[in-house]
Amino acid sequence: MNRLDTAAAPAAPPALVQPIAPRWLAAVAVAAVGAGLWLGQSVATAPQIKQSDVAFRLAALAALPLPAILLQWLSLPVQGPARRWMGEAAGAQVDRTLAFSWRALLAALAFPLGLALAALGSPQGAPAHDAILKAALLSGLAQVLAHGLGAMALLMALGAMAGSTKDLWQTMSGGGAFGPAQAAPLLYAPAAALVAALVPVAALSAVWGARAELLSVPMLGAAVVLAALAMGQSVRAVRRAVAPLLHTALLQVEAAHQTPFAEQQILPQPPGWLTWTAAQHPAARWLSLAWGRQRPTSLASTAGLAVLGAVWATPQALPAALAGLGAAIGLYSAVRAAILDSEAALQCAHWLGASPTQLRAGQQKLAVALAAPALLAGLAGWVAAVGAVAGAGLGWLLLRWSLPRWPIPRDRTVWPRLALLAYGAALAAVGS
Amino acid sequence: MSESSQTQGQGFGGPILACTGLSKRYGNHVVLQQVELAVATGEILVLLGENGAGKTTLMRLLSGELLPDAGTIAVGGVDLHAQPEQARAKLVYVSQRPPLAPLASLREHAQAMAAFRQLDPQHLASGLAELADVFSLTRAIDLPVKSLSGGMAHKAALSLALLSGAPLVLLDEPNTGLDVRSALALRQRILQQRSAGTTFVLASHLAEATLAVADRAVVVARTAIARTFSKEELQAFGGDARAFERQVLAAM
Repeated sequence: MNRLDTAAAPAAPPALVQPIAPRWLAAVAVAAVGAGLWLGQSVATAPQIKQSDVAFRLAALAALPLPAILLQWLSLPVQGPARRWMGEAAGAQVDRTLAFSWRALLAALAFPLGLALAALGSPQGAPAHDAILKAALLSGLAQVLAHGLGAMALLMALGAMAGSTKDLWQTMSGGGAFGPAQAAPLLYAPAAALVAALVPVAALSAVWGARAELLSVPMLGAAVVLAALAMGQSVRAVRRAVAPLLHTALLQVEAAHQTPFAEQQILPQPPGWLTWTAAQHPAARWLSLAWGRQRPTSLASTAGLAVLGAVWATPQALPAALAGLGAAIGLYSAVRAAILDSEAALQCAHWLGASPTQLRAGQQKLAVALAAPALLAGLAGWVAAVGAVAGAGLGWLLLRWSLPRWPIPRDRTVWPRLALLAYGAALAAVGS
Repeated sequence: MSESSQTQGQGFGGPILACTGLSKRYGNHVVLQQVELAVATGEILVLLGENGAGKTTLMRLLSGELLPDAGTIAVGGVDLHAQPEQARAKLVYVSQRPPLAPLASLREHAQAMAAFRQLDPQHLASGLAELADVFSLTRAIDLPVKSLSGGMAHKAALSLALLSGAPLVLLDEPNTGLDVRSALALRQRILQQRSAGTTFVLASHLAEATLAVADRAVVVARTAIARTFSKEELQAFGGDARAFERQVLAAM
């Protein structure tokens, strides 16, 4: 048996092993309760079940990303070598991730909890009272199942990785000719988790859509409790089964992370619209190259936001308000990512000979290019358009505040964040 | 006792780098105090000294990466702090951990550098191919820097610096992580570019390499330049690295 799996290793400092600080999880939980309460109150007096339906589907969608993020975090071995060097056992590393998963689940459950509180607070005879309570319980059930299945997918993927070979990874990746190193682990654990999480959400969504009236509140409540117990036991059983393999598995993940990219020499180019926008500007071209490679998922999410906005074109106030908030967050995030997350690329560009003036102009050009697709969210209605403009405004403020000094002090991004939160609250008030 | 190294190397052009009264402290720890240094165009100056003596701090000050507490630095007659963009365009600095973009290749770095420094892309491409051959980087030229070993990444950064066209090249421990063949190739390349008018300031611990390339060497110790070896003095060692080391140690 591997020594690292069994030895009593000294604990690594919390700063090294915490994927997300507990205070952020607490903040997410508080925000989720607030959002649940607001949504619950908004739909409590609705005569039809339609708006509860929106509430359920949103809560269920919220259940999806967390397992995938969690699994991707573990499968990207950023801290793996440091942890091993400090003597942390592989089993402890996985256990910390799973513990984080359960804490994150509690934070995520705050949203249906807020919904349920809103339902309990509404008049007993209100038409949507039961519907909201059912939506809350059902979304809670979706989250419990998504997390449990996601955690099991992670453990089974690690078990499979322990016995895999380089040839297998290359076969999986179609000869290894795919994107950057970060894309390699996406092949297994996070993808499996997404599928695992999608199944219960899709199934429950179908049940809800077809027979919402037939579901009883006690039955759903019992289902949530039973599911939580069953998932807890199942994850524990799988964890025990793969325990001897974890050390090898984490080493394999690290090796897989390096292999395809190093051997195939494939460097993905940024998308056409970014390249086109930055064509005449060397600093913007360089930053878009670095940004596209560092944050490939941001490209997808930015484009996804545009599609969502276009598809979700509706005169209804609630979806439009949500699209507006989404547009604001999307725009602000894109601009912020362009400014802060490309810091390494900025330093490199400066080292290569770009002047601060060139870099500043390049950042502004890139920010505008990134903002363009998110502006399409404005198609969802006037509230969304206001959201998009507000997001662009916040991004502009960030640019104005951050760029006069270089390198960029991170603490100066607090104010735009607070402004974004205030804007979200104001939008929520308008929407309700 | 410290001595000034304001006097630039003999037999070279006017000064491309001149600093006066340069001082730097980190908190209460004084690293450099009232350092005077001038480097002539086309000269190779080597900074020697113990770990922590202040060589890297001096290099970072000269490159504009750090602000001095007191003193001035002029690069090609341009004040580094009054006109940083103009002054920095005249130099390139390779630290021990050069800030390359991890997900871009050496070729892409070179292309970006050509755009930023307005160099001829074709000329740069052929220069890169030549240096990649010299440094055994040909297979790595299109790989992301992240996937290169430490030594390979260091050679990539050195290649970019040598191709930058900057008249002043600052290299901090350039031989670290280099194999023997690459170290010799680097030495040859430095001498070749010096003949074409490029000025080099190198921080090094290697006595033999210093004797092989330096026109002048200064020992940084006790917050100042403790000793200067002129070209004649260096030549007088006749390649005897041990004798040179003894004198450097005595100066520390």
